[in-house]
Amino acid sequence: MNLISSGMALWVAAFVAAAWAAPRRWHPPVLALFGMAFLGWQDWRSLVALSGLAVAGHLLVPGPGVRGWRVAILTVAAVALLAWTRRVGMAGSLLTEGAGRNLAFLGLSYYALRVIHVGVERYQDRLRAGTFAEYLSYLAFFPALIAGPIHRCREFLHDQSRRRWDPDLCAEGFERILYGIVKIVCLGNFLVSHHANQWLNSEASVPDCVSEYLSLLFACANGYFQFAGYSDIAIGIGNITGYRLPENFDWPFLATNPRDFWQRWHASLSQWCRDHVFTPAAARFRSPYAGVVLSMTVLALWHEISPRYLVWGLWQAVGIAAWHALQSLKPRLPEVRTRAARAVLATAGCLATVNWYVLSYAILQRASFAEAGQQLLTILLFRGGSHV
Amino acid sequence: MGEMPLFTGETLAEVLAQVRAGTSAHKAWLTWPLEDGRAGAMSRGEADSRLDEWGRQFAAWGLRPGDRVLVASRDDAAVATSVIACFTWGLSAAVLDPDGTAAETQPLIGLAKPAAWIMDAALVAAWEVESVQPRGAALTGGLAPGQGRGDSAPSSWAARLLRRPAPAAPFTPPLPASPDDAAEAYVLFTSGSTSRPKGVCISRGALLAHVRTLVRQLRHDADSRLVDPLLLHHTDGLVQGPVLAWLAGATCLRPMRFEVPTLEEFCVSLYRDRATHLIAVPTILSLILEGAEGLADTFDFRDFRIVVSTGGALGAGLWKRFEEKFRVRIANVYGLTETVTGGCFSGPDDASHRHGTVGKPVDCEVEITDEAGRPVPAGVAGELRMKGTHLMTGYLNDPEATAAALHDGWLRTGDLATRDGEGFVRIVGRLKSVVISAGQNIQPEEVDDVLRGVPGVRDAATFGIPDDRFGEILVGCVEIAEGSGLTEGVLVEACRGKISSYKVPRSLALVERLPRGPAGKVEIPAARHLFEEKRRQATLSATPAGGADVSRRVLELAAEIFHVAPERLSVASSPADTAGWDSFGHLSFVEALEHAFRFRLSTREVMSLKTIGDAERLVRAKTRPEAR
Amino acid sequence: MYERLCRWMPPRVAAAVLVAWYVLLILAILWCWNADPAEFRYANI
Repeated sequence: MNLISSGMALWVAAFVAAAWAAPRRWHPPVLALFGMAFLGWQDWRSLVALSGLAVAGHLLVPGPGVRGWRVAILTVAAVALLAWTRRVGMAGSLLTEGAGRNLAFLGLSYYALRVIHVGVERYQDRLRAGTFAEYLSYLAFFPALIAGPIHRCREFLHDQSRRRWDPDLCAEGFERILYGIVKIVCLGNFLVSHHANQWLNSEASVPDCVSEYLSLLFACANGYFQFAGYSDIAIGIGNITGYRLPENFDWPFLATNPRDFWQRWHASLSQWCRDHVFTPAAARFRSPYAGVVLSMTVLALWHEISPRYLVWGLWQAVGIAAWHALQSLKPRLPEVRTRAARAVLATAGCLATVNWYVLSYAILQRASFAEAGQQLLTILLFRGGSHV
Repeated sequence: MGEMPLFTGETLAEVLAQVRAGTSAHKAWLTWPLEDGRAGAMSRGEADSRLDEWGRQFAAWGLRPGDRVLVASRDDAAVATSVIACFTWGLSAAVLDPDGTAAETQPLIGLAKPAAWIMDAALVAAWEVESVQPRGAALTGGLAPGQGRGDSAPSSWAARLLRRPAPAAPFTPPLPASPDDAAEAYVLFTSGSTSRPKGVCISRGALLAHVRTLVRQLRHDADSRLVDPLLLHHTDGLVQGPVLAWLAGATCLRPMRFEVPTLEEFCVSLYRDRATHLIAVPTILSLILEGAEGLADTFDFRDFRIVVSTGGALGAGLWKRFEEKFRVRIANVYGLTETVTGGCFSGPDDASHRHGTVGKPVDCEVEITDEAGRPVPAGVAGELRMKGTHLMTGYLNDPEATAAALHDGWLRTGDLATRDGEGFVRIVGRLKSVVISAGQNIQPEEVDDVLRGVPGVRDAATFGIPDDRFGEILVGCVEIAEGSGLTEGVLVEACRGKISSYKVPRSLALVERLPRGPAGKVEIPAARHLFEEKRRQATLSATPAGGADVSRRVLELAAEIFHVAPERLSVASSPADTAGWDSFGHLSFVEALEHAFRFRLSTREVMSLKTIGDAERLVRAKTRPEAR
Repeated sequence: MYERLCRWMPPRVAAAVLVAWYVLLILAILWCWNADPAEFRYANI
């Protein structure tokens, strides 16, 4: 399935028309039906999964005051389904799972998390009791169906009652879509995937450590452009229909520490993990470190259940924990006074944070841990020579 | 639309004629809540035909210009159209509180001596108005005499396209030439006591002059879509709402009654209805700020211009936090029913916008004087006096009270104020005894009378104390006879039914003896002290951590943990708008709370904590004696 | 975007600059799209 295609453009146009043509009362069911029709058209198994989870979610946790085990069953069911499709080898691409190769439950990664989110929010009495149509319109919201973001139900329903024709918001939406396509087509595909990598492969004079580093950097940059681009498009379509989806990528390469980075990189997923893994784990074990390790593990395994992602998640957890430990040392360190010193510190923090993330790509890019280790050593020890 | 083409008329009659000729019949004038929860909508064309119908009715009743018509209805559209009809046909409207009890209202009807009345049928019976004046229209669930319900707002653009415009009926004015601007436009009743009610008479000239001021100062024009949730028998609700909208060619939106459970719906309607102004009392602003979680976008759209705070003192803290949180400017209006609505304005312009003040006088003069009426120097407190074209003519049929309030064209406001070197006026206290709670004026003497009427009560003294949410609340001390067996609950219950619910005291302390001066008069400052002493004792014995202390301590802890100034935090503060409140800070906050209040929170409780208000609730629940 | 530009230049100029910017982006998209071999046209991460 191609996300940038005339076929998709038609779906988008139909969606926008349907969303605005429906009278206010019929808006939620129209949204829900549209999302489901699209899903059924692309991948009927995913439609079955979504319908099953939605019915289970609505019946098991209709509102506050239900027993805790109902939320637990719902969560286990959603996680089990997600885990089953995440078996090594079956998972498709991160963005559009199943793109082309193996169509495996389109959008499940996102709506499964939404189902858990609503279950927990309702259980905690954080969400007004909505109708099934409203619930389904949230789960199957077309712009965010395939590639996120994992938006929040409360905000979504707030927008749903608030929305009206707003030329400013609509113009913003078109602009976002344009920027999204530029990120994907010009920056991600043309510049990084195609030309930068081509140059890297053809340039023999670059020392090993540099070319290895650049290959990771390019992989990382491509991931950013593609994913941020799709998020832009999703947010843009949302804006055109009167919704404000949460930002998913907020200049992550300007982050000055790992915690900051995860608030800027795939933010809707890390916020989901913060609320539904970190907070309960940290509260349960009374240790923020336990919370960090658990939430980064979940975040990593969400991509794929495999040893390499497990290690990759722990790598990220180490980064955050190290930063936090450094923070607790701060009162004992001399205070930074001048503006220049602060700027230097922020730059150093930014470089360290971003490279911590870039280097973690070695684990994902190489076939084995041994190879990944070799690659990291090559980079970190500034090994020269050139590979052919 | 900077120009106000509608406002060139010299007199109210001319302006009304211009409005009629110069605005499109299709333009919306008013929306209001219907009983079934939907909103009614009335266009100017529909309103015009209703005014004509009222005109015919007035002529049929044989009313003469200057006659007074009583208006009381729970239907906003009925009140608004009747009042505008009175203006249009040269009559005076006396607007009553439809929730007033018979005991409260009958003296007002007696005072007003109406020539006719327009009232809900239920009120006609309850207040026995026909024994005073047989002439009137009893409204039965609709807008007599047209009998038409306001059309509900068309739901879609298709319905709007298909709707046919109302045909313009030829009409000849049924009443003789319009009166001049010295004539009375309306009467509103302000805090008086049952034995001596006070009706404020506003002339047509004063009304027009002040509406001009409001339009200019608060940046209204024909594109204004002002949201006015205030009561229509109050001057702010009536004049800053439907009346201003009518005269300015603008639209007044009354989407729903402002209530806490529908707070979110109310806030959402501002954006959806493209509001330009919100007219509110500080209590409403405080509730919006408290419920702000998830509502940060309430005022964040291009159409919105300003929040107008009126009808009570706007605290500097609330003012600042509200403006920061919603990135919107609040214009603080100071005035009385006696000054139509305003006089001093702080904002929206930069020059007059200063937190904690009421800004500067606009289109009027103010003076701060000592007891002898001599002006005091800058920075010294004295009584605020006001002079201008917008002052009342006087109190209805009460020359004595009028003479006491109006002297040489100056109105004694009864408020204590200071003025600094730059001319900013600050209200610092009150000479009169009135208590302003959630924008409603309460005369404590009226409540004292009711309490004294309860068997076993020897004497009572009520007064206002400051309150974060309501501005002030009415509390008091009651001296009871020994062995009377009276309790606070019995006394409060005795007040209900006799006076409107907003006047019922929030808290009463039972005392053996009220502090009295040499002449036997109750001394209010001493009674206030006695009340606070009693409350403190009660709080100490009931809960280990008393009410206000918990709030303060929680706020202090949060400020310490998150490294922010306490005044930047409120009960609505959440991780989204508090810099240091990240996931690590969250846990530190929880541990600090547990340490400070010596309890332990469960995992679920830790997770449910999402605002400072949640923390306060948790602490209260956990430190209740039975919870230990 | 338009409002931000208006802070720096007259509204008409801002509108012209904005339109030019959008046209430039669209041209860039079309050019890159055509210059890329098919395998690089779609999401690949």
